[in-house]
Amino acid sequence: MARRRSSIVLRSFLFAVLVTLAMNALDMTYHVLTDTAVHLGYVAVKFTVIFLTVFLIDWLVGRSWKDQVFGSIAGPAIFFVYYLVATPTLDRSQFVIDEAIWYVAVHAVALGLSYWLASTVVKRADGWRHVGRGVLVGVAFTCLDLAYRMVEERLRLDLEGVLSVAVPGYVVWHLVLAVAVVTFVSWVSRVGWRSYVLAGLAVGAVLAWQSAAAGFVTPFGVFVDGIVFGVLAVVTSCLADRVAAQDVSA
Amino acid sequence: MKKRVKILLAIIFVCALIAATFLLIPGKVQRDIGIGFGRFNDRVLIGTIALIGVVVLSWKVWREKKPGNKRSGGR
Repeated sequence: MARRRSSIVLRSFLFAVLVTLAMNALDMTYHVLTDTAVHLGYVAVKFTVIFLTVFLIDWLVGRSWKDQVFGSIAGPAIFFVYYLVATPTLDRSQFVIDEAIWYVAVHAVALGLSYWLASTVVKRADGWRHVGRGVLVGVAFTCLDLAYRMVEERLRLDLEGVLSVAVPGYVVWHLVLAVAVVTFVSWVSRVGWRSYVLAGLAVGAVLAWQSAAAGFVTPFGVFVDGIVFGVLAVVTSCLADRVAAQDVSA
Repeated sequence: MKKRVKILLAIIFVCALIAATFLLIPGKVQRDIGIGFGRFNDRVLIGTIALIGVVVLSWKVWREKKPGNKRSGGR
């Protein structure tokens, strides 16, 4: 009984992590494309709020479409409440994102899409499963990729952690390449450790090359980036397959 | 409602009460952008976490009260 209970907690935990990573990646991409800075603190708080909402709903209530719709609206709405209360503390000379009510809708769409990918598309029996897996792993990977960039900047330059490298070119190229590479690997290989290693090698090589070609990193940084990207791709691929294999009827 | 849920609900309400008390204290400390962990508004984050608990448990009670609701997954 205790084992079953812990497995349900773990199931919900993994699902919530994957959905929240994907949602945050879509949201960060939106912010970058609309020319609003992305801050590490802002992303960290948003991740916490959305993760807890998705996790608690999945663990305590369930994973039906009604629960997913409720979670998609409740998470962003609660984050909006947080933002409103925290607004007087903001240093507006550094933090310029002006949270508007319609951002709730943007966040809700991103979260709903992530829910749909993680709970439905990756479980399909036909070829669309590979595309769904590629998109899901690609966006989840991009979230970790951008978080790595922000942490690196914070540690190296002692800045706030603004995503200065996240010009649209960087984000869009990394997102598209990660999705394409993982979809291709998913198509040509079976689920398993070989598939994860292959995805890690391919994503690490392609994205490190892209970073170097675009002039984002130094020659030494290319090797570090390649290793980090590879590890992140392995982790997100493994996570997506664990979630895809979940049986929520139990 | 199960005993476990009642206990959880009680804990969350106590947390919400503490967070509400914190929110009444005016703060002037401001670091960096003022948002994120380890900053002045951590107390706001605690209140938000309590709010998440209340919202989710309310949804759980609502779902269980409505006849004909089918559960898939969860507990």
